[in-house]
Amino acid sequence: MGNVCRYNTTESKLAGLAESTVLGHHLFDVVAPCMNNFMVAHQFEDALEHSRNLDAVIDYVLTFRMRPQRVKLRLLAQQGTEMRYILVQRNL
Amino acid sequence: MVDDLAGEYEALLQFLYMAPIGLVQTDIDGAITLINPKSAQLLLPLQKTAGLDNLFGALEMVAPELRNLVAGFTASSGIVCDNVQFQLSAGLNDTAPAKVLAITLIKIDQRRLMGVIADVTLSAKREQQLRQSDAWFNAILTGVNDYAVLPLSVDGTIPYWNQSVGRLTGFDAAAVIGQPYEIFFPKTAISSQRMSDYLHEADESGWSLREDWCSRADGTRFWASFMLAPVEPFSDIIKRDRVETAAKASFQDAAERGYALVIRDMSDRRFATAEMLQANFSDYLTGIANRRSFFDSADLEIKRWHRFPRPLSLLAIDADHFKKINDSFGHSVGDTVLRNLAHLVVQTVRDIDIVARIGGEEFAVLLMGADEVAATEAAERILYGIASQVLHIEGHEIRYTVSIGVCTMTASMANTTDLLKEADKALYIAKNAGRNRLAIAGKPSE
Repeated sequence: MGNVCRYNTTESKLAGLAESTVLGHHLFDVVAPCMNNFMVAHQFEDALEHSRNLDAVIDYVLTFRMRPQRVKLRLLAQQGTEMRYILVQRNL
Repeated sequence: MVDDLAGEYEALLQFLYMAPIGLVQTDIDGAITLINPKSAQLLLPLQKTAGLDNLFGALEMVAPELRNLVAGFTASSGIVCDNVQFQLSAGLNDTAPAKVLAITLIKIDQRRLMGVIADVTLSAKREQQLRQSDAWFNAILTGVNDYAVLPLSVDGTIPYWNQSVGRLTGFDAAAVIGQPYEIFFPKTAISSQRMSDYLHEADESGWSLREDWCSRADGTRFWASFMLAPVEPFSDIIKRDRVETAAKASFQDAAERGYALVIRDMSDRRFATAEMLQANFSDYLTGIANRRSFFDSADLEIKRWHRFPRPLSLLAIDADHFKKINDSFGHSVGDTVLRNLAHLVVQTVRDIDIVARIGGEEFAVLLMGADEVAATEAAERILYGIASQVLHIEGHEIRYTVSIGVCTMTASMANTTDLLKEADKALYIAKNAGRNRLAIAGKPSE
């Protein structure tokens, strides 16, 4: 639950993390601890807890290679599907 | 070689990504140049608008003085502020626990600042609890002769000995370690079951506090107050408070659950307390528990039963033809008979059983750990004891008898009233069957 299943090349390059070091690891614990707060992680938990679908776009700041970068995150979760998604948009 | 460097670079990145503490580098005006994910995790929820451009701006709502602190720091380098705590009440989701951040700012040179940001919600909370405990302990320890504080394992056994235990109770380490904490109480007055009940009650309400006799190693008794409080393992605190994952790792080897036991010697207050207890919870005539006290104790006992069923029985005892005694010999003789009845019942049952006067000539005995057979035996002893004695009161030779209803607790009985009702039904059967006898609830009279 919460482990990374897909990790695309763009994300891998920008984060500086190889796909192999990320896949299978817990997203909020190991890969992107910066998202482990009520803005992101708890949104997914709440959606699961209340059996709701989640489709939200939020303004966020990611810290690729320790440089703060404004992004938009799209959080996606649908009941009954196995995977949940976080899409990252740069170049705002 | 290049591959090695790439690998090392990735490891270094991951090290910074994973650091469980916030690290930020800014220019002298607070503009963020480098920031790790933990910082973003802690700071982003504080932002009114998107973006994390300036550290002072990011902390404006909770720590507006940071900018001034830095401006007022004239030395070329050094610690601007060290672990200053900021309570994050504003800007937080209502459902999130109130968080406390600690911030350290170091001026590296004239152009750069390094910031360390830590979520100290947990330790701030513990410090606060500690301060509260301190105050509470100071308050309650005033006027106490002496006290012992010791840890208990989760099963109520004593893992360590300390000086306070030796001083207060006279038990040495060898006599105490590995023993259940009931060794501090007179043997006849306490059962293992009761000790475990106290632990459960401490779990449920956060503490269990009562006053009772305690015993020393040499067998002497002292009036004591004892408090049990569960000691929560860090893992539970983490679960409850949804502590950020990075903090979890440091608590993985957290201590096991257990209890703290505080025994206080209350000898000086014994008489005052005893008088108070006597006035509120004792029957004025007989000195045994009154109706209120009986219902208090029985309700608690039945609550325990429903949590963990164990044998529990009630005797409803009524003096036979008591009105006739009063009418023939006068009320003062009647009172003496009731005192005799109370005394005999108390002598017949154990210290842990509760004997109460719940009506004019009606008494109740709650027998701990007694099944129907044991309760019936106790009732027979009482019947025999009373019927076989001759009282000499005010020149009169008086014999009297009682009838007893015996009832053993079952799951269908929700409370004391239910249990008492069944015992009363049996008592009524015993009366109708000719008195000076017992009847068992749900069974034909003997």
